[in-house]
Amino acid sequence: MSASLSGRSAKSHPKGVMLGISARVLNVAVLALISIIVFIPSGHAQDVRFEATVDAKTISLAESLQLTLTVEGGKFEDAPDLPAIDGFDARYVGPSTRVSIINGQVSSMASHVYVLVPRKTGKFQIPALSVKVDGKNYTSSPIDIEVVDAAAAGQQPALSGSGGGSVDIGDKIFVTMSVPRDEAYLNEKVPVTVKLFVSDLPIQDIQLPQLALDGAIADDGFEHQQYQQVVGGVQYQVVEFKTYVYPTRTGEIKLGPVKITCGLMFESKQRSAPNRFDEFFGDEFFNRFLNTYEKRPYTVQSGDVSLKVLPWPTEDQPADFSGAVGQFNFEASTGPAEVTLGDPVTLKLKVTGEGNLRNAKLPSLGNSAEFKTYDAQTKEAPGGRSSEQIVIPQSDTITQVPALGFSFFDPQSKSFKTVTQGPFPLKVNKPKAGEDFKMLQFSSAGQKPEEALPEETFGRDIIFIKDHPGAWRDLRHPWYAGWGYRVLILLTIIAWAGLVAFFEWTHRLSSDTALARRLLAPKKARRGLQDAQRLLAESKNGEFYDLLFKTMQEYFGDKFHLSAGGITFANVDERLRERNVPAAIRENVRVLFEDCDAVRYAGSGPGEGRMETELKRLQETIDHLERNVR
Amino acid sequence: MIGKVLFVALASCLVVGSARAQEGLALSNFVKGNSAYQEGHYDEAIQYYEAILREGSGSGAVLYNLGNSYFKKKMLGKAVLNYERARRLIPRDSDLESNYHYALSLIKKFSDPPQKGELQRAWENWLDYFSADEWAWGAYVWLLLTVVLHLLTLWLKWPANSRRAAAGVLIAVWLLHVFAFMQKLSDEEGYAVAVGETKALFEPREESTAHFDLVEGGRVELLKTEGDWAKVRRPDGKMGWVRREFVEKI
Repeated sequence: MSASLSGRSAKSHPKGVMLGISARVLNVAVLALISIIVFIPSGHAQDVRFEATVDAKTISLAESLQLTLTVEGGKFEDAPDLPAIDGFDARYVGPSTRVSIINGQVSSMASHVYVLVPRKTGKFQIPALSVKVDGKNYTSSPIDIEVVDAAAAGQQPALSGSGGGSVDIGDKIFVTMSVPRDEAYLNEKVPVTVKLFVSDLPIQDIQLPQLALDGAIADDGFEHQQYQQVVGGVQYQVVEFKTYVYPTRTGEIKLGPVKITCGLMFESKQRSAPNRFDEFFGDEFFNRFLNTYEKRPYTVQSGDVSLKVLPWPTEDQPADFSGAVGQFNFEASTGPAEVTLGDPVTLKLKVTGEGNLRNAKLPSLGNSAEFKTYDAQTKEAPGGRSSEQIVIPQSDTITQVPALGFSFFDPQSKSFKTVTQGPFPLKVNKPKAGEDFKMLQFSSAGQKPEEALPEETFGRDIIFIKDHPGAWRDLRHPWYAGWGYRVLILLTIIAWAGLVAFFEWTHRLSSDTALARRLLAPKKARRGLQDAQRLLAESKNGEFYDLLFKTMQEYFGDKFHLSAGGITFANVDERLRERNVPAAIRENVRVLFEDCDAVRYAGSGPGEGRMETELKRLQETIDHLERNVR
Repeated sequence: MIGKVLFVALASCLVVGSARAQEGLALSNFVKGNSAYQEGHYDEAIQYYEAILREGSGSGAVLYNLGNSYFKKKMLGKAVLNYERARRLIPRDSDLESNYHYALSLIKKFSDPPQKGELQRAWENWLDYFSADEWAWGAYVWLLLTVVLHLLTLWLKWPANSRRAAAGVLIAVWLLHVFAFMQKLSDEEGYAVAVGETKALFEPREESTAHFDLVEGGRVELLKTEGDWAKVRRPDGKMGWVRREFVEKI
């Protein structure tokens, strides 16, 4: 908006560059000021519109389709997950946002772009898609798409052995998923292996597998390695991904399917019209260089795997068992072994081994009459988990820190096990004479002891009186309640209206030349008549008639918006008749024209008495016309 | 003619001189009131502050100090009344807000305030953020701004549509300011604070049935007055009659 306004402003001041620049700057400044004033406090509301669009409705099998989901006047809460679309593999490309200001209306458009890669020829439909915007659901219309044979479009995938047309690549790329056993215990760590097999196919950008899980959770990320493997007599490049899953409920659960998305390279020929270079070098030369390889997303999917999840045995389950499943070692230590009463002792624990410690709690010492304890700080350690806990002995009679045990379920022996460490010997000395017992408080990190500050408890009261009276006011008659304020507003509005009217009037005069000439006509004529009166007094006959004719000519020219050449008696008389001017006035005009012509061209002039009559005649004529003719 | 001019000049000098003298007296009472307050003579402080107000002048600080004096006298109704009055002059004073809310917290509550929507609360907060003086100035400044910007668009020869749109928006915002100012004045007109604890009756007669309790310091809407009686509406919407000495207009 500001650009277009600037353009108009510059155009309207063509005479001066400086004026153009200052006007442009002022335009932008005024617009910006108005925008800031208006838009910042009030904000703006827009209608929300959601639509799904595609860049083509008919594509070949070798092409891809761009699907854009756009919300106008709102924001997506999340990038929408596309449902399965028959005949296509979908891949999310990314978001985009656009804000535009048109005629002062601010509008924003947020889009999410997807690429749809056709899997087969035929007619398909992108179903109605729903998104949530600002808590409300919006639905798009379904879109019909036709996928035609790739050969018809002059494109073919760059697959070895492909001869155009649709290509079945199911045996060239596939993915498998496996687990080493059919049964596992609840929370047990179960390895999952995903293998991507690729044979004789150009692919790039292999994404990490997306594993669907129901009744289990998985580690973040995958370990992966690459090697070759022959399957059914065909050599495949294999990318193997490994991760671990942890069943979260008992019974039959489903692992998978797993999806892997990669970039499949397609060969795409140039479709531009042949040019001189083609003619010079020939098709073969350019085919080599101009044929481009286009990367299209491709998703392969495995089948799923069932796993039977067994519950933990109920017999012999230790009271402190917290869900650790696997084989673990438990280590514990305390330090220092000798402290003064009130000093902290650090209890260090570490659990390592193979298994699932996700839900497990490490043991800790609780508050007791012997020890004041603080929350243990637990962190992940290589191969397991460790914790540190600060405990403070409360008596110099304490001789040891109690033993601690860690319980877990071993799925190999199918039994619970408890590893116990301690008790740990401790010597607590009395404080030296003159040293008070100090209670220490620990920061949230539990690392650095600080002296505890006493709690502050105070009452509440009002804040003291003010020393300065501030601005004195007339409390009975506030200034804005009087007439002065209203008159000030009224005068400002009147002045505004006056200035606007003045502007409109001057603008009209500058744009309506006929009006301007008509309004100026009597003023100019009056001046001419005064000069003629002077010449009459000086008896300058020739100059008198010249001036009389000129005054009359200019007056009629301005009054009727005529060019100087068009002012003849015939022209003037015609316009007077059109305006129903009485015959006597028209006769006056005729006589004036004739007398002036006689003096100016024939040199014969009437006497002074006649000149005075002529002057009066013109005065009367002008007076009549000003009073009666617009 | 010269005589008239001299008369007007002399009259102006007298008015200015009188205003200055009144201001000097008010300042003197303010200082005396503060001294009395600091010495713990709250009755005396109240007399000095009230003397300033009786003359028709005052300030946010005078009303605040008067509110404090009443608070110290444990006259919560009068304290809240003067804090309310002070809030109209110095609405963003943090000391005043603190004391006002503290005084309110000490008042017994017989009714829950009415539930208000987000928009209504935002609008009321926005109104309360400025004093009536500031709203009046704001409305005038907005008018001037509207005039200047509209004339600028004329001078810069904006296209007619853009000019009309800009003028329309500016006038709309100005009218919003005027509306806010009018509402502020209207809000300040019809409210009172209970300066004593009493029961509101169904009718303006001593023998009438009691309808609800009016707590000291409670803010009520003053609907009308008849003789010694005032009809009030509590924030929960209950209406009743109380003797006029129990409520004071803010």
